[in-house]
Amino acid sequence: MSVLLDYLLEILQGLGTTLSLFVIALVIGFVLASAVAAFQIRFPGIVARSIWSLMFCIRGVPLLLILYVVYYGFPLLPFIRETVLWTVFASPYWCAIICLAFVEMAFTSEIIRGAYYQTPREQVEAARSLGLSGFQTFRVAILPAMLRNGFAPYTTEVILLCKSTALAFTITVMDLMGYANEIRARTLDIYHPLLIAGCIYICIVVITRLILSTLFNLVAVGGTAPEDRA
Amino acid sequence: MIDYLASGWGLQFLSAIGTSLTVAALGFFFCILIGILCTLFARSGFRGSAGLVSLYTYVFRSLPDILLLILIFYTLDGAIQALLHLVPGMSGVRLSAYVPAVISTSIVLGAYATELFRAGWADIPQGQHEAGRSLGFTTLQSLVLIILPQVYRKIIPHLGSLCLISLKETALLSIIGIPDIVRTASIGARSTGAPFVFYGIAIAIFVIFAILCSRIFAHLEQRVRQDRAGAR
Amino acid sequence: MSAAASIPMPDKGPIAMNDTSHTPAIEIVGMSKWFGSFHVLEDIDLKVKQGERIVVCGPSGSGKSTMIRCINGLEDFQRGRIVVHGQELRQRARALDDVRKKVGMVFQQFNLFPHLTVLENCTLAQRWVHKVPGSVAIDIAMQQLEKVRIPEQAQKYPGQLSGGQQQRVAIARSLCLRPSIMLFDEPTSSLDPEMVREVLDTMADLARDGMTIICVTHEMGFARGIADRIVFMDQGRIVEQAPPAEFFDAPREERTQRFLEQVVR
Ligand SMILES: Nc1ncnc2c1ncn2[C@@H]1O[C@H](COP(=O)(O)OP(=O)(O)OP(=O)(O)O)[C@@H](O)[C@H]1O
Ligand SMILES: [Mg+2]
Repeated sequence: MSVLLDYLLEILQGLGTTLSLFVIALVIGFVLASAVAAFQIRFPGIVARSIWSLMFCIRGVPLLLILYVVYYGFPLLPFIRETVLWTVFASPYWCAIICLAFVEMAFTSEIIRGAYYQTPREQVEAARSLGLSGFQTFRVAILPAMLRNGFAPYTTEVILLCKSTALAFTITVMDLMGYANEIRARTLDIYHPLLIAGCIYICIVVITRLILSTLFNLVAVGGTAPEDRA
Repeated sequence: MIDYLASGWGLQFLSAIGTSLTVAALGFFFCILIGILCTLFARSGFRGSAGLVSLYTYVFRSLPDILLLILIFYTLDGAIQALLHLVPGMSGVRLSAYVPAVISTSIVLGAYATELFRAGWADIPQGQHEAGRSLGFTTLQSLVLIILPQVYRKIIPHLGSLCLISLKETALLSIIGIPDIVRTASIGARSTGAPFVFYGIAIAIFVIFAILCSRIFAHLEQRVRQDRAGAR
Repeated sequence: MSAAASIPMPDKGPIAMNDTSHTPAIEIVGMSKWFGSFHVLEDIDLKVKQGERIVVCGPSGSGKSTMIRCINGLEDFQRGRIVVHGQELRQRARALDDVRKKVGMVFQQFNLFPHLTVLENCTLAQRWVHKVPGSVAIDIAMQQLEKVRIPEQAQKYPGQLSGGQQQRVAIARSLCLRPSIMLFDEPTSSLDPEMVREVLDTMADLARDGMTIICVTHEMGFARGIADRIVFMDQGRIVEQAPPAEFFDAPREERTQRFLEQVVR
């Protein structure tokens, strides 16, 4: 029993790292995704389509591979090695954040785009006919509909990101998974460290879902959080 | 790049693609099987069956895939080798790591597939089941001829992403030591000092597969769309 | 309904002569059913002769649907018995399959298979349940589609048809299995008014051919024109049954009178 407690305490050292990876990548990813999606919606054309293709390609490549490229590949590039960028790319922690945010951007921008195009045209026309300006229309007619349509897929995406942070241990970041894996390698005890880490991850996911649906209910005007499926 | 491919790495990559595609295809197949079986079980009306399936999908969609893979892989590996030990004359044989790799991938992906099938199934009106029964179809016939084709139609786009996820999921096997595309690329990158060639090839393979995947499923979706043309 | 007047009274003579066998088509004795603690059907007794046409009516929630679903084995029941063509119907028994082969059912919501063409809808059960060879199944299906007057729609999908056409396909689909009894559960209730007529005409054709029919409907004109007997249900009981003339013009029960005042103006 006390062994389990020791494991738990050791693994919990990684909690801060996991949470900060998760939250920072989430925020950066969301900001980038909003910009990317807004650009695609606002300026449709060849550039927007190229961006969409790029996002599509990013979504097709495993995160693990992207982590390897950035962590093992980038340091060999002179313009990274010899400039201020090196301070960032020398740290596995920041490499992990950059990769996670990058992938998050690709997935979230598509969710935002999807939510935008699902908004019924009639609502936009109705708002316009009332004499609202472009931004007011967005605020009144489009944004609420986007929140409603995008909530379920975005929740799924956030959970996926949370799970993806566990891959950071493959580039020597000591997060929850990193510590659990270290104990596993050291003691050859597979179950206990991994199950303990698993329980912590489940707690994080449960709390994240709670926070998201609370946020949604606060922000969304009328209507409740739709059932999260998919 | 051609130099590297000609000097033996080409073959390495081919076999890695074979490995990844095989594991992905088997994983995709089995996860769909798991999805259908779990959905049937959840709808069977046994006490607690629906709750049990929900627990499976909730837990497995909340845990990091890599954690699950390591857990299931080592558990299965140990169990299978121990079982082989019990069979007389087999004690010296070691089973290839691919078996636990495929099984663990399937179980992880099965949670996604189950969620997909349950949602699709719930969209089928009760009347379809009743029409099947009143025309005299057996449960199995009604499942195969009436229900599954309709579920399939509803979830095709999602099946496309599931298919892509299957291949991406195989990347994790490199951590367990299976020589898939990612592992081959990173070994090549480290041993030759030309990381971008090797990582570039790996990325290209995944991108090509993603394009193929989306083309194929867009085509499949197009094909089943015809019955909805002009639907009121 | 104005359709009533134009539907000719079916010729009842030959049917009475054909009815040589003494086994009734359907016999329900003392049947009771509960949904949990809710008593949906109470002590139902109903005997239907071969070739007889029964219209079931009654207020919403009175158990009409539940009763005819029991006859087809879509619902089980807790007490009493249902005998179809001498076969006693019990849940989870082989007999159920035999009974279903003799009893066709048409639903309010059509319940056509949306992923199959009209023709495939009509041949699927023939081929898989009755093991009819493909070309024969197609012949039979086309025959029945002609009977409901839409052979030209055979290659379309249900989603491309109007409600009335879909319901006629549903009738043809059931007829392809050569049932000796047809059950209808409010077949016209989800149709636009202008399509009600074509479905009622199709059903009148069936009645003329001597099919045993039990139909739940609110089309009182149709009931008057086609039925041999009208069964009135309320709160899970059969309150009154009588030939249409008697039922509409001289209802005995006070409950029936009130119901008729509401539906027939
Ligand atoms: N699956 C069920 N579980 C519980 N109660 C049910 C179920 N199906 C029907 N009921 C109840 O049984 C009663 C009879 O229902 P039924 O559908 O047979 O009525 P009905 O006479 O066909 O009404 P309507 O004219 O509206 O179709 C209703 O009160 C209904 O609420
Ligand atoms: Mg009803």
